[in-house]
Amino acid sequence: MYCSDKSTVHSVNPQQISACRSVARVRQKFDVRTLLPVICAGLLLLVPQLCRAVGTPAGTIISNSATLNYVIGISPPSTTTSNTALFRVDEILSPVLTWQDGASVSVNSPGSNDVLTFLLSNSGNGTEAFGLTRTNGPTPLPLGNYAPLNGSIGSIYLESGLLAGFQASGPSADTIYVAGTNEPVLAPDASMTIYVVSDTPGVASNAHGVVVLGAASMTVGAAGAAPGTALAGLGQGGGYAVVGGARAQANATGNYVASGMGFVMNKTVLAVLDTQGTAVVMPGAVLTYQIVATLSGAGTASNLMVTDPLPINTTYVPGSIMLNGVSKTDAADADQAQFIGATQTVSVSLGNVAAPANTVITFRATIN
Amino acid sequence: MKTRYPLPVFILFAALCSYAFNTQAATAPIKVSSLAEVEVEVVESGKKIIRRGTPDKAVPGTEVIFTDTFENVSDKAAGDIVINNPIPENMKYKGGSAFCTNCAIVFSADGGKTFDVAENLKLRGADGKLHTALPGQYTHIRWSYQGQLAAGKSGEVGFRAVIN
Repeated sequence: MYCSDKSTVHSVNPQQISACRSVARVRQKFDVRTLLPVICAGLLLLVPQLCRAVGTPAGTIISNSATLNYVIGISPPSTTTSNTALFRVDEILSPVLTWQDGASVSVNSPGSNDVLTFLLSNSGNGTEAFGLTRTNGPTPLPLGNYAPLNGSIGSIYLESGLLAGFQASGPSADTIYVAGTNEPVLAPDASMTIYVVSDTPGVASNAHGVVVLGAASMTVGAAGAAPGTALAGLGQGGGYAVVGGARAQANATGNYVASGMGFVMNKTVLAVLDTQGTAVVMPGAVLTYQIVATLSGAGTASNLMVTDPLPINTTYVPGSIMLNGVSKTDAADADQAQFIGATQTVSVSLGNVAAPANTVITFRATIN
Repeated sequence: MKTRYPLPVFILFAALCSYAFNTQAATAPIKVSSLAEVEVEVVESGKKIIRRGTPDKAVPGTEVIFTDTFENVSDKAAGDIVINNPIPENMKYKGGSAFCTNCAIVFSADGGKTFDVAENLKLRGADGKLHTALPGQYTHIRWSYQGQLAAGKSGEVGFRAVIN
């Protein structure tokens, strides 16, 4: 009996569909062809419902009707059906932004084009476009924090979907965001990764750079309006667009941290060669020293210089300095390395070194 | 998706529809109407009061009140009155909200195949065991009016449901 009820036609409940099927089997007079559209409509409606997490899509028409059975006098039981009460599901505007990096992103100071990663999600029930803005060093800026600068290659990028992670160029390049041109459009429950790209001014080590990314619904009159504000005709499907609890906008704060480098030097005796050709430490034996200088973290070490005075009772083997496997002269010239006779010191000027980096220095000395 | 139906099906359907509407409009001794409303808080004379209105901000999570009003417009008493209302698609029944006067209420959680009072309504879970159906799983409500509805009298049943 419910299969002929008009409110059942709108049903997507699988149990109801199977119930209708069994009724069709029992009642031979009931032509299965008339039931087909019911089943098809039900199955079609079932698909979006399974994919849905944020609620009924805006624009959906919800209908209700009742049937009433009664008996009057000796007449057989009769049935009457109500009108169908209809209303449209309106659109709630509710963007969500989250910062994805988990920890402050280490940057050089000064530096360029370092990336903060955000995720923009549409937790509303209609497809919506969102405008993006960034605020560098929002006030009040706590002491020790700084305002990053918009990246020299671009300020905000949208994930192209071709390759995860930020690509400024190349075949999988992400898309630079231009306000008023390519606002991200998100279906209900959909998300998009947004990259904020910044240059870093000259700041103190360990200073934090703060950027706030903002997203605002592009529906006219929605962003910033009081929660619950209903904008007639502007919702998906022609109904109301209703401003969500966060005023149809969202903010998330991301952080950079300037430099913060670690520097470790490790000196070992790599090899011993005695006068007999074996490895006994004795007068006349030649020691090969190795210094590994490791720069960790992020940032650039300026004018990095490694100096190593020779141990007493040893004599430097002339021309034995090697830097990363390449021989260097002992003279104070342009080849970075020198042996300073007056102080019996091996000295290597590495200049500006970007972390992380490994530098290997070897030289030889003879035991007196 | 387009589906072609043979012409006789259309004609039969149209004939049935017009028959149903004509008979109801002209001679149905019981009239029944369905109404969907939401509650809105308004401030009048400095006081907050709840009024009912058409569902204007019907976003997911909104609670909607459905009222089915029936009236005996014949000159004889009517008995065995049973009102059936499927829970609208895209909505979940709000537990304990079904109301009526002078009637018994039962629910279905299996698409209207079986009905029972809320505490006896069972549904087989993913674990294969029978569990008491949750209000959000109800598919139908059925009200049985007790006794006769005298000529000219009316009644009201209803429930609340939340938009998914």
